[in-house]
Order: sequence, then structure tokens, then C-alpha cells
Amino acid sequence: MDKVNFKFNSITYAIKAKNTAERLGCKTRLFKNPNPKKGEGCGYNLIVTGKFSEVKKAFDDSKIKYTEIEMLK
Amino acid sequence: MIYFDNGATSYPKPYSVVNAVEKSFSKFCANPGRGGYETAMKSAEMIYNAREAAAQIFNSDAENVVFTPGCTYSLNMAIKGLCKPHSHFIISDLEHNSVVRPLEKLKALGQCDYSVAEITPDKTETVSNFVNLFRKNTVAVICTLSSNVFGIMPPVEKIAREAHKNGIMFILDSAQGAGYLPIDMAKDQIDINCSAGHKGLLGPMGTGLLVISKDMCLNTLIEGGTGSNSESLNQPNLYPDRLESGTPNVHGIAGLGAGIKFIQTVKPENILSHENRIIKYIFDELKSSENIILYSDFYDGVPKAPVLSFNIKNMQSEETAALLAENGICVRGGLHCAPLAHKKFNTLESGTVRITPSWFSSEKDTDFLVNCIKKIAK
Repeated sequence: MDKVNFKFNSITYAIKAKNTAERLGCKTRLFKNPNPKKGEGCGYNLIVTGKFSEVKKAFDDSKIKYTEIEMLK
Repeated sequence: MIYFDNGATSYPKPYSVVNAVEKSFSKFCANPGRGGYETAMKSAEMIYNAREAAAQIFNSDAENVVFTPGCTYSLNMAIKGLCKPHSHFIISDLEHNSVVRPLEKLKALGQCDYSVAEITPDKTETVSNFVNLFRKNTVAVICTLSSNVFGIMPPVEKIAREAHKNGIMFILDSAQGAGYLPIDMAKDQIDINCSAGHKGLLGPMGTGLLVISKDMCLNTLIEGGTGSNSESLNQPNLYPDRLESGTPNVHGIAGLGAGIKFIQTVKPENILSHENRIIKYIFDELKSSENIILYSDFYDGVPKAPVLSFNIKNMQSEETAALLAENGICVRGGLHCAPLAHKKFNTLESGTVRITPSWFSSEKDTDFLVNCIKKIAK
């Protein structure tokens, strides 16, 4: 089981990603990015607990635009 | 009140729509896509769910659904978003002023030119009429899904296909028809679908949709805060944020989402079937009256939406509509903001009285309407 932080600029893509991951049976936590880097501005973090390769493929197939992936575990 | 003016805005709205709007004031009272606290996130999720519902009925993706204040706004965004210097547009001769006026304005500013294609009962001839107007600088064809005055349904999927063969985009005005006429943006090659939220989609007034089929570069009408990429001084390229600056109409969108869900439950084909039955009944009841002119024939084999325009001989349409209003009947007389369509039918002077039923129109109300029209026509 992987724990991954997907970062998003747009709340629309963040919620789409959350719903997509949950449909795969993953646990998710969506929240506003508390530490945006310089140049990022506002954004959202989605922590997904599940199989990374499966989740990433589902996001890519659904044309979900994330800005960064951070492996947490 | 006996309401047959659903072409202007639908009434009544389903209870679920009224409840959704009412509840939104307590449940979704925070600004979506801005704060990170629970209520703001709930507002954002509700809006996403409405986006997804709209994407489902038009066969697009949720991120391609842009909420607007109405179809007129959507059409302005599409037309002005695509307009480049010396660009050319083609429209049908049934288009509403929400298409014609932005183009006239752009034309007066020397920014574009446009041509008008004739819609005829022959689909092949109609498509040829569009194709014959294609130019190297044509950027888009804009066509109504169904005439808001006469219910005529141009062969939009065939026109769109020919436009695409020539690298021209296709914009659909589905103000009349979305919610009960099928719209498959992917299958029918519709690049931009502009729709009202408060008519066939049963949402509140002040709601509309602009749905794109894929990522495209539309110039913006307005720029501002989107809650995303906030450090950048430039408008983001991501949809829907690119076209949704400022606080969205959360309460309206809550109602619109509920309206779309109501339609998905009842099924658009059942709504169409009900409205067609009502409109054909009215047509059948009025067709033999010598003093009544009917402008749509529902038995001539030409596909039509459930819209019936009529006049009583030697009477202005507004006068007839006023007499019906005295009996508690709501119908619309005049030109319906569609002078091109009225010119086509030689009704520019008189206008027409338009009857547009809904899923909630009853047989009892229909009989009352028919009897009142017959009495006035005597």
C-alpha cells in the first residue's frame, strides 16, 4: 500500500481525483495546501492511500491535471 | 396560473430544485475553491457534483463544464472567445439575438464578419447551404438545437461534421432543447455547447452553462480571482477556472444540479414524449379553426421540438397573449428575441404567440388553454 500526495492547482481536478481514487477503493484526504511553494499560489493536496501505479493510471486516463506527486511512504 | 411559457423559463421547478436552493443557504454558505475549511470544501464538492451531472447529460468531462449566468453569457463567451481579427462566422437563419447581436457588435468594430445560412425542410440542402458559405477564415459555425419560436430542429450533427472536415469549430445553442432533446457532444462533434440552466434543465434563473468538448484556447471575457494559481498575475489556462472568475452562483448551481438530477431520474426521452403529446394535442385541436394560423406542422416529417407558434387572424400576437393572460394563461407574444426567425416566417410585424409546455403541463391546463384560444378566435 502506498501513501502519495498529489498536488493540484484547481479544486475541480482535486475533487475529480478524490472521487476517482475512492472509486478504486483508496482512502483519501483532501485539504488546502498549507505550504505552497514560491510561484504555486493557492492549491490543494490529496493524500491517497492505495496502489500508486493504479491510481496514477486512473488519474492519467481521466485527464486529471496534477502539478506534483510526492511519495509519503 | 396556467403556465405555457417554458421557452422563456421553466415553471414550476421540481421540489428537489427548490429544496436544494433553500438548503444551500445553510449547507453551502461558504465560498467554494477559496477557503480550506469544511463548509468551503462542501460547497466545492456540491459544485463539482453539479458539474459532473451536466457533463454526463452532454457526454463531456466535468472540468469542461463552465457555469455562467445564462445562455446569452455563454454564447458571448464562445463567440468573443474565438473571434480573431478578420474572422468569419456562419449562423443559421433561426438564431436568437444572443448570437446575432454579439456578431453585429464585432462586425461594427471591424473584428469579424458573418454569413447566414438558410435552414430548409431538406436536410441535405440545409447542410449544403452552410458548406457553401465556408471560407478560409471561417472560425466557427453557430447553430441552434431548435428554434425558440418555431421548434424547427436543424441537422446539427451533419452541419458539425461538415464544419469539422473543413477545420471549422461548431458551437451549439441549446437554450431550447437541453434537458429533453438528446445532446451528445462527443458523438455529434460539438465543440462548444451553450445552454440555459433555467429552461429545460429546470434550474433557477441566472444559471447557464458553457461546455467544451476538449481543451481549447478560448479568450476570456473577464479575468479575476479563481482560487487557483493565485500568485500569477495572469488568468490560468486550466478549465473551468479560466472562464469562471469571481465567486460562483453557489445557490443557483445547487438548484441547477438538482434540476439535472431530476431530469436524469425522469429521463429526457420521457419529458420529450410528454411535451410532444401536449403540443400535438394543441395542434390537432386548433388546426381546423379558420381564424387560427399555425406556424408549425407536427406531421410534415420535419423534426421539431415541442414549441408551437400561432396567431389569430387580424390580431397582433401581443394582443392575443394579453387576452390569454386575462384568463390566467402565461404564453409569450412578440418576437421572442429572434427577428431572423420571424423574418423567415413573415411574422416580423405581428410576432407570434408561442406555446411551450413542460413535464409539469397537465391535460386539464392544456384543455383550458385550447378552449380559451378557440373562444378568442371566434
